[in-house]
Amino acid sequence: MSDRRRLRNRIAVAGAALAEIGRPKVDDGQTALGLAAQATHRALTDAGLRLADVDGLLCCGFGETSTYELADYLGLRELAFVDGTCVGGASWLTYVEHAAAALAAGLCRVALIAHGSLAYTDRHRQLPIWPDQRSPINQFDLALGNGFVSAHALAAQRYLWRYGLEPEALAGIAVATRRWATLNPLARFRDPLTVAEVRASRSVSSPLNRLDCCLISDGGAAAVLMRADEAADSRAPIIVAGFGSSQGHFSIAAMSDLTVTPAVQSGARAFAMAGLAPHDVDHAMLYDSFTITPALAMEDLGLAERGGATALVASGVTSPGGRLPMNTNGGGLSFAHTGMYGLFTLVECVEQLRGEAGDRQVACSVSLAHAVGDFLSAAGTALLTRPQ
Amino acid sequence: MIEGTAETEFFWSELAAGRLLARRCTTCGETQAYPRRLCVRCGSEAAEWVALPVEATIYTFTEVAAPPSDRPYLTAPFTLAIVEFDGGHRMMGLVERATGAPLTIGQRVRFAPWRRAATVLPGFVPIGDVIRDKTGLPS
Repeated sequence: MSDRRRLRNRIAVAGAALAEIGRPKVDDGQTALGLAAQATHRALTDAGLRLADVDGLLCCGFGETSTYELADYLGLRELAFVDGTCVGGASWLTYVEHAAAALAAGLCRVALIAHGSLAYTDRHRQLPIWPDQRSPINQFDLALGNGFVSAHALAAQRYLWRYGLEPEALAGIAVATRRWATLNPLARFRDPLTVAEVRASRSVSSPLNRLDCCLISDGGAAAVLMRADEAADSRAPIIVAGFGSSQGHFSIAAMSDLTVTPAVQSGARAFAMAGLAPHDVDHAMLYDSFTITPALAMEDLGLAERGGATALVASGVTSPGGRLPMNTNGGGLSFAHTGMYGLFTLVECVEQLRGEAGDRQVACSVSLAHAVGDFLSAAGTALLTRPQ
Repeated sequence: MIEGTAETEFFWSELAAGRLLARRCTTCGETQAYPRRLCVRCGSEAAEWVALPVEATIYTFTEVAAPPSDRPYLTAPFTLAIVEFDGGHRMMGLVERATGAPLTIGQRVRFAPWRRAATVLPGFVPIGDVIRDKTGLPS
């Protein structure tokens, strides 16, 4: 039995919460740190804890939300465990793994994962994420005009070609996700959407149109993790049955197959650890920066056959009433996307497993959260359940 | 002009002179995805510059509607591709077309440096297309 398997069901999410979610903008007085702190206090209240209980902190950001900045802003001192791993949106589920390892090893007792972003308000600030122009990613990739949209478009083009599909197939993912957003009062867009409307929206980077791309939103989220035995008395702990992460290529040009992502490894590790299989999953939150992103994840995680993700979505399986409800908050495509959306997948899984998801509530017992980083470069997966 | 390092300056200066090179390990024969001192496969520091083939195949591409604001030499729209040389070596490049015909995966292209003022980047044109630069000569 691997060491990872010994951590099965040993860690719990004791608290989880959203900050104010911008539609797309939050209150004028807010900052990225303020949103992370607001989510932190809400998640700690949810867990029945106080700030002074926090001795582990996991976060990253584009400058202003480093572990140093957030700890200072919150007034956290004497932290026993900090982790500022930055693998883009995948960071936030990679933190579940890292926090679990730290908690199980006794490095800390209350691990806080917190995120805040003014992605919408600051959308014209254009802070470079990788400022050194002499880094290989800048010389051989970004200097050619590549970016997050075009990198995913390169994968989408190859995916459609490989399986003989048209862009309408990917548009169907935006349509299915919008159906969930109509049920979420916090979602940015709540009007029904059609495949024709997605295809009629302007081209951003072929084959991806505007409505194949996620929103740009202000917002924040936080989660508090503890050992499951120590969290048992909290209001509504959710059990982490399994987790996995994987970092692959950096430049999209170095991705060996543009239709296969590091989710293959992160998912296999999470399922093996949990002793679960893809068919056990009855609720999935798959990072949807672009319509291609969850399509690839569905196949890499074993939730759909190779080349079959878009047909499955078109059949209604992932829509309200389907057997595999997916991206039930409305996703990054229709709910909110703060630049790094990963933690929102986890918060929605917790709300669904607790039965606190309101009009969009589904019946589920095994919920999967999956996040993707940068240029399909990194992946983090977590499997969540209720306490037995 | 692309700012290189000790490992890559020669790649960029040769590109500006119209030659597309790669760094190949003389110990194991691996061609590096981008030039680097240590071989990605065997760790050897023994390497040589080799010319990449003139022709390659479009592995995937995208027509980008708006360039990133921090790349002022790019004008909208532009076509970004990953090309694959016979033997499997891949790299990112910009593709220019003489006609408005759409690009396709699997299409053959040939190397032609992409030039805008002082900026030279890896570029390719579909075979059959003739692209003229500002000198009026086929590039």
